[in-house]
Amino acid sequence: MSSAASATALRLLPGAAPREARPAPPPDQPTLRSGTLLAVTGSALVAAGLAGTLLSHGGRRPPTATRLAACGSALLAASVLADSAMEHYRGNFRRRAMFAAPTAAAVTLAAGLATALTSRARMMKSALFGGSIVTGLFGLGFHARNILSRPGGLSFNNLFYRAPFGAPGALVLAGAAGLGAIAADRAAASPTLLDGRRRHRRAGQGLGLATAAGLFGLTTEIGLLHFRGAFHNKLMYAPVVTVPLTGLAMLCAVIDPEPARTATARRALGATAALGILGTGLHSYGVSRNMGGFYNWTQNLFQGPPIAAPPSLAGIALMGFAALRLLERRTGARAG
Amino acid sequence: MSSAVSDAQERVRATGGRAPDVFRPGAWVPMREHPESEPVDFAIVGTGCGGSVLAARLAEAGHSVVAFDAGAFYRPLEDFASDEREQEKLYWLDERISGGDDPIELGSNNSGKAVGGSTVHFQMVALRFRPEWFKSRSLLGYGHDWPVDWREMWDYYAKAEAAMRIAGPIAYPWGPRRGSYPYREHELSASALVLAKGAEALGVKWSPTPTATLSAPHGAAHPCVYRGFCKIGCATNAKQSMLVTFVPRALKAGAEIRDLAMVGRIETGADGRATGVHYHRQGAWRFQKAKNVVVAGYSIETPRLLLNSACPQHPEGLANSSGLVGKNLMVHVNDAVWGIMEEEIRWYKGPPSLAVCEHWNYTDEGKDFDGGYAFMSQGPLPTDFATSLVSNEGVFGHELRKWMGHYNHMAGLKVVGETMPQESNRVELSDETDALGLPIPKVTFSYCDNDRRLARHAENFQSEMLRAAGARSLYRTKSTAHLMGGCRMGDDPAESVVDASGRSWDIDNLFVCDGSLFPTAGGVNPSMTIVANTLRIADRIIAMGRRGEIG
Amino acid sequence: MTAGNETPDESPFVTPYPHYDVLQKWDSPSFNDATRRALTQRLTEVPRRRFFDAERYTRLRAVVDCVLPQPERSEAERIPVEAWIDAQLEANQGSGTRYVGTPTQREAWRRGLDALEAEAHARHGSGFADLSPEQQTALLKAVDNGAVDQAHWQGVHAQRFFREILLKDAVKIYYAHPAAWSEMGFGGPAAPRGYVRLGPDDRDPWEAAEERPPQPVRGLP
Repeated sequence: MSSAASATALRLLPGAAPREARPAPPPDQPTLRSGTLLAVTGSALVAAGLAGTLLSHGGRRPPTATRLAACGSALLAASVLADSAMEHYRGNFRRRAMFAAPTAAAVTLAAGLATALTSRARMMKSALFGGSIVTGLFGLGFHARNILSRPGGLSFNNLFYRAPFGAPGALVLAGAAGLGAIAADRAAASPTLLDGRRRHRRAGQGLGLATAAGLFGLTTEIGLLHFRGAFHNKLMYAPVVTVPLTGLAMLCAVIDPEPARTATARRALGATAALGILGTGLHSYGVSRNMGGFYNWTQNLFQGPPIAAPPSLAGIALMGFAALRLLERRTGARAG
Repeated sequence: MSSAVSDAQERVRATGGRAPDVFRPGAWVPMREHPESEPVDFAIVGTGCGGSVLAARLAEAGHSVVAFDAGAFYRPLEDFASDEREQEKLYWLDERISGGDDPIELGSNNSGKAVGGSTVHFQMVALRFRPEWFKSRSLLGYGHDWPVDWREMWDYYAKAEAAMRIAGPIAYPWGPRRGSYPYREHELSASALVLAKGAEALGVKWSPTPTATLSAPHGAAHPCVYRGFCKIGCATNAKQSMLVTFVPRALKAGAEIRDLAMVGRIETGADGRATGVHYHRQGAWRFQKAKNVVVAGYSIETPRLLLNSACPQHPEGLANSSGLVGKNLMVHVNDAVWGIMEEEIRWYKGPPSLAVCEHWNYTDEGKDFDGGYAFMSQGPLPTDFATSLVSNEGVFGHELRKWMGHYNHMAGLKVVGETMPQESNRVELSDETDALGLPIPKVTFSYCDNDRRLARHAENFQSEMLRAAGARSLYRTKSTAHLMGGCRMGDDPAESVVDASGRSWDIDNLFVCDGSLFPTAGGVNPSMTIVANTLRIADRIIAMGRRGEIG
Repeated sequence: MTAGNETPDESPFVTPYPHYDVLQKWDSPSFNDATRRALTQRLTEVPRRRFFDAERYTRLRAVVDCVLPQPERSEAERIPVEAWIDAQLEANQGSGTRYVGTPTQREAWRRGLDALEAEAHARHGSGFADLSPEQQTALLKAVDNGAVDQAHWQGVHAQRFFREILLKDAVKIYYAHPAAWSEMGFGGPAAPRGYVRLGPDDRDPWEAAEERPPQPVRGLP
């Protein structure tokens, strides 16, 4: 059989819709140039920071635990803002909902900074933090759908390369940290000693549990992605070991905040925060050793490792420090 | 035509105690050199999946080794352009005559000419044989048994995959359990998703393809950037070709590589044993003395060299008492089905074959043919695609340009289908000679009925899958890929050229170690099997050396 | 053969990517020095005729203009495929395969071009270059279908010459030219920068934007 004859035979196939029926993809997609994206993301970070600072004029200076938790919230939000702006840009913002994540993260960042600086407008800030939790939860749903919609479904390939659970999870966490900060602020303003103790305890437990849950969640995410990188550098094991141990230490401290336990948890949190800083450097090095290094940033910032991810470890550690402070306050070991 | 990019083809690079450092532009690594007058332990002809791997292992075991390659020694980072025409320098474009009922296309289709061999431009599909294929005569009733056990090969596959950092799935869906691949699978490209979608619609398994390109950094090599020029040479060094894996290893272990060195003849002494090789380099014929000679020039050059080394003691060519040198040449059926997708696929991005279906390698029911086939998603570059289009369809004029205008919407599935070993498919020497005065090889190939049935089955199945994935306007192209056989290994001197160690039955210090050893072709790309088989042979030769059985 | 009896649709090709030019990426990370060197040579050093005589070269150009018509390009913009075919034959750079019964590529090209001329004279009484585009197309289709006078072909297999040598060599040159990459929306050179968006209907900012659907192709449903 000659090839052309069989080729003709093969053409006797049902055609799909005619080509003209397909709407042409918008020619301006992707919507931004990479440089514009970086500028917009950077300005959003600065603007959110400024807004947070400006909003905080006047009012009482909040207690240390609040400031720690609020800074943790802001750091987590900043990480989510940078990460989601880039990743959703990579996804060409094909759904309007994809603008929600960076927007919510920017708002959370502003609210976090404001909370760290002043006790004013607690109701509004609580609402904003609640909003980021809701946005994060929706994000988790969207991302799950994104994974399941591809051939292979819940496969490693899709878990590696489709929308991650870590980023919307971090947004939830940022919201939780913010609410924890407000709770700590309220506790400090309690009219009676007894009420203050009760409020501190509850705020500390809540923040502590959220921190532990966040640490375990992050372990899964980091584990998955470092596994994707085949742990090609032994240092990639460091967070996979440290972060869950820190989660355990936090859990122990929440269950019974005796001094030895809180001291252990504090040391573990310190290690996790240090890893966050170190990790940012290592991820930058990782980008630099990709083909073309930072000269090829329009590819390599996306190809990773993500430089914006490790700071979230420091953010979560700040949450933990705040929780420990509140828990210790209950025992009277330390003044807040 | 000369290259505008590099002088590697004009000037020898591995000389003067140094060889190119493939990981750094303009840099060198030290290279041990061996005098021609002193016999080296091993003179190895070829530096592809056979030669370079053997050179590395033998040198690591303390043997003195010189490996020759007719091609140039490139530094991919500075010598490889993103350009199909420029990169033709990687192919063996010397004239060869091709005949038979189904003459095979040589050159860019299956033959490399560079240090690192064809792996410099291979498509990186890193699959294992189905275990039963090593005993296809006994277990499946066709072809010939390999003189090896599949479990032994399984171990060597794992070693080969570890050495080449193969990026593959954690659980491969076919065959007996294998550990997870050393590196993780790559992100699926749109063209790979077409196969995945089609397979799920038909209810057959599919898998991300185990691929010989880095999904994470390794040493000085960058991870893959998904530029998609894999088939014409990786300028990233992510591709785990022999050039960036076993060749540097061989140099480090003290092996010498001689680039632009065409071996034309193996010399034999009065006792009929090999004494060294005649090779042409820098404009002159030279002679390297050797205690052992290993031929690793792939399925055409290996028989050509053995046949051209005929001498009074071996009038029919070396290692040819069985008369099988050059016989039983095999290819893979490489027919493809193409179609147009509604969405943009842009198959030029990423490694071209990121999804694979081995269903018909592991299923025996419902087949009207012996053997098996795998097929993969495709991503041909413009001239590659255009040449297959015009040679199969004869399309030209405005119609051709319009057809090429659909390039970004095209998707395709291409088979790697087992052909049967037939003695009539062979490599011989023609009466014509090339510029060096060496006889031009003549290749004769015809499909047998079984091959044609397999091709038809594959065509139908691939069409069905492509249609199920949503493609329309299907058409098909015919081609072949890979070379296997020509110097079969076996247990019976009358039925094979070499034994299970690659040692020729006739001459105890003459070995063959490359794809020409394959008794059967299998339905998968051959490179990993060649590497694994070479690692196995290397261990055997090293053990023989320790026992004093090597001259 | 391929839809041979259908009415030819010879409306000119129109690119789906009118605003895309691969060469705009010249200074971007998509191009490295090796690629720039290769393309500089291709864009600036069009080889002079050396292999064919002037008459065969004129005929070759007419054949090229029939198999890859470029009416939308000025003479300066046109991809001079014939120049590189001539250079390839002058350098005697083969493809690595010579089919049994086929002469060397130099000889095949000479005989093939002469056979086209003889066919043109036999059918229309004038040289190939002087035929109308419709006559040229019809003649080449006849060659592809094997509907030729064997006496003109001096042992060359007409269809094999047309597909395996003439068309293949022509498209290998044409589709290796940046202008061809631009018209088909091919990403073009990509090193050190490759791609980050690999999914369907997904493209990086440095890829071509499809502004209109590709034209329907005759013979494809």
